[in-house]
Amino acid sequence: MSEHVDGRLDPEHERLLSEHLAACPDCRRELEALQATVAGLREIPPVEPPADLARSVRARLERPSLPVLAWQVLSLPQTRVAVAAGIALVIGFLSLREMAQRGPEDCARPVPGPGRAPGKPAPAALPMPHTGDEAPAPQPLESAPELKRVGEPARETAPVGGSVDAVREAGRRRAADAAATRPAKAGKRLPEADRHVGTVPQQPKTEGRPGNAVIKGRGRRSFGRGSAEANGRVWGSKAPAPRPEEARKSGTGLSVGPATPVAPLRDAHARSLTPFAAPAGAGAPDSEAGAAPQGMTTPRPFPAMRARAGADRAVVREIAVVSADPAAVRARILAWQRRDKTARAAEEPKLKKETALGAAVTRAETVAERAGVVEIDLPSGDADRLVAELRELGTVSFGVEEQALRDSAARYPARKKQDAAAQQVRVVTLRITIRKARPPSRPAD
Amino acid sequence: MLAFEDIVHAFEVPVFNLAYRMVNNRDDAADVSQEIFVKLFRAIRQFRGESKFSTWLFSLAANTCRSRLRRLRRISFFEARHIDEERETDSGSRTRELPDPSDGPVRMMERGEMRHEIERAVAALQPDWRMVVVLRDLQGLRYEEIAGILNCSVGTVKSRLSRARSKLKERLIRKGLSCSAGK
Repeated sequence: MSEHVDGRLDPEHERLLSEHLAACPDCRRELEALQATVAGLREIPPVEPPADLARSVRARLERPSLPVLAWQVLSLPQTRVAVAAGIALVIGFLSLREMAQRGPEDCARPVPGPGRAPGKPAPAALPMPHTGDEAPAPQPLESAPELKRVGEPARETAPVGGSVDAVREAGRRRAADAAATRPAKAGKRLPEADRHVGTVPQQPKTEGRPGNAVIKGRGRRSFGRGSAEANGRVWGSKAPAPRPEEARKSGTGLSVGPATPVAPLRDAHARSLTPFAAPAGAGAPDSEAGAAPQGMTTPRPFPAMRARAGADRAVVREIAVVSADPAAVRARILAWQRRDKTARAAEEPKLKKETALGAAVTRAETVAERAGVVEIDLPSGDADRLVAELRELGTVSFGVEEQALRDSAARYPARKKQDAAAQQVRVVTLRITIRKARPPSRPAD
Repeated sequence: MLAFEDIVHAFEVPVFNLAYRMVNNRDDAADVSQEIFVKLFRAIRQFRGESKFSTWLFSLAANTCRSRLRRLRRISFFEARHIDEERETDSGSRTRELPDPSDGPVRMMERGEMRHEIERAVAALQPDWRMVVVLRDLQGLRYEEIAGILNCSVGTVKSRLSRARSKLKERLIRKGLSCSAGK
């Protein structure tokens, strides 16, 4: 019927419909209703469009589309500057976070020595530059000159002799100091910040040892500190370098390298930390409130880094190796150091960036070799293997071992997964004193 | 741009009416009409002359209306209910009078009741049927053109049109408006 109303029925169907309608009053009524409906539909007048439809269409066409608008906004110089600044901020934030996560050893960069252009790497395995002609070259451990730090306890200035007993004695004293500075609740698991109290005094002790530049195994940040101090003690003149504030007043700059101007800030930051800001006479040799050594800056890592240091440096094991071939001992230690670094890099992709800083590590290791003491962080199993290898190269004696097992799984995430039973990885810091075996003394004539 | 404005002026009435019948709202219809013409301007180079320009334009308009309907989730059923309520007209606000079944269709048409009821019934149709009714009975397009616009067969157009008209007729009979057949 709909097609009939529209006149679209073919003649045959038209005839059939007409015959049916003639005989069926219901269908006739239906058709009339349908025709009335269609007629009503066709009588609906069109709605007038808005008078400004064409104008609004034109305006909409002239308005740039969203992609065009976005491109135009992005093309503005201000936008570019803002985007660049935002990217820089994000990169800075991520870098800081990464530094904080890595810990102090991975974050520190070596401070270029005086007279060296910043960023220009020093030749590895070569004697480090001197600050002046009168400055003596760093000597091997056997003949290293005794350097004293003002305010340093006498025991710290005593040379570490070649004897194993001396090493043990030094370790015992350090352990006693660490126990003295620990809070009373040392038996319990301490909060993250408190846990480092026991480790804080260790660093100045070894740093104050004459001829010993302690370079942590991956301690770039610590190396920055050690380097700054080494500049004053080993490479530089014996005369104490000016304090930062004095140097600032005199305008002469500091002799300890570019890191020094940053040091006061770090110190101020460290002072705000209760566990690290030891009061005067509290026993921390390098505390600012106490007797700070003159001419030596005391940069401190940021709290997050120090926290990581406390977590990683769980066990410190003193070892003395007396060998006829100290170079071989050092080479073996460095090989383990690199091997461990590679293993960690495989576990943590972030650490692959360390390769870019390999030169800095090499310099640190060089200083460590010259000083005769090397620190290396290793998982306990690897540490045992290294000690076993060192025994093949010489006589190994053990000093005091400070035990403080903590979860270092954050540093070795993959190993944590593998070692589901233990859920903990012990990181042992081997503080190895390398000495050359003296030839047998001739009987006196 | 002048030629484009000519096109807008030539087709604004059918395009706006199609949009108005589909979205049942004047403001939305104006917005949809703008969108249709903007799309037309940006896509006019794609017109290859395989069909009439009006068919191509209505096809663009029909697709835009469908997209808008999906976006608005506006079901004409609810709009139809609003038509029962008080309406703002040029002569002021007024409420629709109830139809008197005893009135003949001519009288009803005079009063405009038939037209309003048909508008309401059209608005209550499902979109596919409504589109066919609007294109055929309000726009006066041929079956083949509608099939080209909606990208369907002529048989589909006939089927939808027949069902839509039947639905409208039943609704009008239920309302007592299209009762001329019995008199």
